Amino acid sequence: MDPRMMELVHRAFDGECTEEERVELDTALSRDPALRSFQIQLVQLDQHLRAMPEEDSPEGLRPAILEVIRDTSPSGLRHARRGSISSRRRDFAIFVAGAAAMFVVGVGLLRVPLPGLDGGNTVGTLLPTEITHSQSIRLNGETLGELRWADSDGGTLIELLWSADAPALLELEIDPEAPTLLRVRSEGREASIPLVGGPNSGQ
Amino acid sequence: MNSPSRKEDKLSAATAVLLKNVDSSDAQLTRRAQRGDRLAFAGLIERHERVIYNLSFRMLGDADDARDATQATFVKAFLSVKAFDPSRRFYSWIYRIGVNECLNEIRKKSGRMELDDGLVDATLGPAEEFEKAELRLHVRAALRRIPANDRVVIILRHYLDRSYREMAEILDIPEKTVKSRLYTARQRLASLLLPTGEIV
Repeated sequence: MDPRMMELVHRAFDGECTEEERVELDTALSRDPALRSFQIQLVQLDQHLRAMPEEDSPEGLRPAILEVIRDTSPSGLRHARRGSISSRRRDFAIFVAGAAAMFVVGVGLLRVPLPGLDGGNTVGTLLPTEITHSQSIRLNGETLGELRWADSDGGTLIELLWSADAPALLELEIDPEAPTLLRVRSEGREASIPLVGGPNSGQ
Repeated sequence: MNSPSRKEDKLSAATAVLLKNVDSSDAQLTRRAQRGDRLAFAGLIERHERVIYNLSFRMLGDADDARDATQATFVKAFLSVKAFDPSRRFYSWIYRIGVNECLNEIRKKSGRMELDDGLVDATLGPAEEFEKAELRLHVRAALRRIPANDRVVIILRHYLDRSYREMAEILDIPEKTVKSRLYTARQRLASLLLPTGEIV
């Protein structure tokens, strides 16, 4: 086989050849059975490789990274405030058994699969910045957890501390018509939580 | 204390910024991270965590090692984000850190890595599932048998769909080297995976 044509097979497979080269390759393939066989083997190799599916990253990896970063200071950045969590919040964090999730919420519906009891051992906060607001999450009078959020010049990150007894799936929705209301749904129950004005807000 | 209406105004503004955050490009998030915005860096982790984990898993062949490498990658990126050249693409930079982290791990474990031949328990599941599982194990074992530098180009091309130019940027080598390394790696893998063992 012509080494140049073999390279063209690779490049065509990788989407890296010009239209002219592709025409030239097609002509060569129509004439050379060995080159066609070579091309088929390349496709088969790719199929074999793609049999190894993409893995989900492990539960708790992102919070673990953020926890390290929270306590790390790159050159020129101020240190994260280790002591910024009040004892009341620390106690609550322990109370909720450390199951925690952190996510960025946009307008629209967000389904959040929550980590199980083994998903974290959080005491304090995962937010890589100081908490500016917090609000209890109640559904039908039952306190299921605490929502905390912080806004900065760059955006708002929301952290959820979730009771160990609470359901494993939570749906959150911020209504574009009323962006200060967070709708929470879980197992057929629904509540609207004002993101301002709660007993713990504005701290 | 702010009045409720002012608070609501502030939150509405924050929500608007939040939407901007969701739609931000890597470049915007990186610039903000360079100014010390940890939320922005959290956004970058959110976007790239899965791909870095998969890169690490395929390079190292072990879930725990991949987890450690992923964490080390992002922590190193955070520590040096101010030195990042914003004219470059963030993913190239973070992939490069991830690749180097994996190569370092492989060097540390050199000679100690298990070469799993992918033997599976024949009592598992239906035949089709068994075949799929067997193939996955064979691929994983084959990837571990080829040199780490070959493995990198295979992963970048076949799993992460990077172009020659992007691979050259990530690995900091000429495109010509990327191509020759990729073609050689394919030949080595074919000899391990394909019945005919030929792709020259």
